[in-house]
Amino acid sequence: MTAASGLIDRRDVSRIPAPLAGLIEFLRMMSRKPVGLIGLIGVLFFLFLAYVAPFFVPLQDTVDVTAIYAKPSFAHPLGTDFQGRDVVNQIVYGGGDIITTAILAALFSTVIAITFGSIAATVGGRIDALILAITDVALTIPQLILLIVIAAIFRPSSFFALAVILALLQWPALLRQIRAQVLSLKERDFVEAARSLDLGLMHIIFREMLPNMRSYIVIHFIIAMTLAIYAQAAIMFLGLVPLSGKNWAIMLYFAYNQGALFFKDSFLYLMGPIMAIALFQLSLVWLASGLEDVFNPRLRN
Amino acid sequence: MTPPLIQLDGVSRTYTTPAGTITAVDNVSLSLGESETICIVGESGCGKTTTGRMLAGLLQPSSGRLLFEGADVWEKKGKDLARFRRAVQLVHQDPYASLNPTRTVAQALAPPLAKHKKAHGRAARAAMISLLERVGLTPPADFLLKYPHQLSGGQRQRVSIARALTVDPRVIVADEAVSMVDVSIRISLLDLLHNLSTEFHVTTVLITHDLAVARYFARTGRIAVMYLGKVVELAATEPLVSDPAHPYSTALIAAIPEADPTITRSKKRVSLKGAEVPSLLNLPPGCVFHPRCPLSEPGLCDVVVPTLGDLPGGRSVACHVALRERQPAAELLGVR
Repeated sequence: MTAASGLIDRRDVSRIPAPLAGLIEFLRMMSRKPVGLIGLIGVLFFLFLAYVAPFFVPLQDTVDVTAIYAKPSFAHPLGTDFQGRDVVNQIVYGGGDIITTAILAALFSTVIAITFGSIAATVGGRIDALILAITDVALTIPQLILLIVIAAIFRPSSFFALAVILALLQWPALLRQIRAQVLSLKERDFVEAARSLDLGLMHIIFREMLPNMRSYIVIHFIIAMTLAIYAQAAIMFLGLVPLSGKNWAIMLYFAYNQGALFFKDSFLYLMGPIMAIALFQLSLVWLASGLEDVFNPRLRN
Repeated sequence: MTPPLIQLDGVSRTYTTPAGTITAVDNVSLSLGESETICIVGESGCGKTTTGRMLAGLLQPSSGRLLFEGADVWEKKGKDLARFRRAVQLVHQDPYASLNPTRTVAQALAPPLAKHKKAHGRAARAAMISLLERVGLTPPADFLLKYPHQLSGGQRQRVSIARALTVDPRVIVADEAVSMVDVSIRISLLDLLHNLSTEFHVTTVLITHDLAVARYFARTGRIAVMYLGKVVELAATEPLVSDPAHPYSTALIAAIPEADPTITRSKKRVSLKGAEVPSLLNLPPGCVFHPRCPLSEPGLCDVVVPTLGDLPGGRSVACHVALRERQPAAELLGVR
């Protein structure tokens, strides 16, 4: 018995790759494309900053009128805001809500798109026509304007409600892709073989079809996150949702409305959240581009 | 008398196209027994793939019936239908499309074993190893974790045969299963399929455009020659190859290249009147082969549609001239 087959023996062959082996393989694939790796590191950094760092960095929320728009110093690396509060501290605390909302919005829109895209493609007929018609309408309405109207009417105060509204705007593009993929996949020989082996509909959808759409789904998920962040920034900057808590977009709102544009001293207060949003978005886009390669099994060894 | 294992009973399949209705398969009857090998031969567009898909129960005939152990398949429901589906497996033409690119060999073989044989873990692994050995992929353990793109065309075709065998099928329909693999490995794939019928009592149907492949594969079985949706000749392989009755079969056999130049030189040349196959949208009247047929008789072949008639030796042919001239003398005397 060779060493290689001994290794296989220890695992359940139907569940390969095992999680750890899969993770190592994933990192190996990512490291082939520097841009993707930088994106991954960037995303992990911001996730750490938003979800872990607040446990270690105490919130500095006290107004200090003696230090309004303070210059960068060791205590305040990016200076202070219009009430003398530390900018870096706000950036650390301002990521969580905006990223959570973006993840939820991307998750909801992906679930909507996969569910209804697959239904449209497999059922066909009138249901397909109806779903497509709704999709086309949703695609043609100017998204930002619709978002502003919805946000102004409902004034969502929780990030969950905001995520639902954002998700309702983002599903159409993925739905069309999923529908097209399912339409083409269901005619493929391997799906026909699965049908003739009587493996069941759930197996065909989740084991034969979805893995072939992984790249579309994951990349849509990431792009949906970036769009959700822009949309949040836009409606919060416009002050359309109740402004509560700490948030990069709320920082922007205050920076603008407190006249930060006109004070040379407040340059860093304005640029802080802008750079945080921009760098996080860039990391997401680069991660998406790196993942494209990972999800192509032909590139695996 | 027990009914044949699987039987096509006068099936036709029509398609409606913007240019009109075409009959891809016209009134084909074929019955197959246990562990038989049969080849369906014909040029592209003759309806052989459609026939194969109807035989595998993947395509519903426009008219006619598909019988499995004497029962109409398209009236089966639920468990009964699922049982039929598993009993007849199709091996697709394109080994690059028939395996899911995102799933390893083990992931392709394990689900049917788990679902239909309750084989999990070690038992599943042992079953997979023995299946891979059976289809000639050795050492089998090396193949379990391979993705389809890491395999050659021939190896993929073997994996799809192994996948079909996971459910212990009674019939395997191999649609052009060797036409997309290298010539050098065709013979071993054909042998593999042939052995399934002799060793494991699986009825194997090979659909091919290549009569040389058919002659090799069905050497102990039968060949059905199709032309424009109809079976024009159905006979045991040996007599069909050595003494074809239908002029179209004669032409096909004459076209098989021979390795020996002396045979090639001495071979009877059959000159068809044309190389053009008529369009299915505009079929000639009478015998569909008459515009190309060297034996065609005006007033008969271009008017009357020939039906499949029996000749001695268990062969049948759809040709007025062949049926008349091959009628045994005794029968002719008897008529007089």
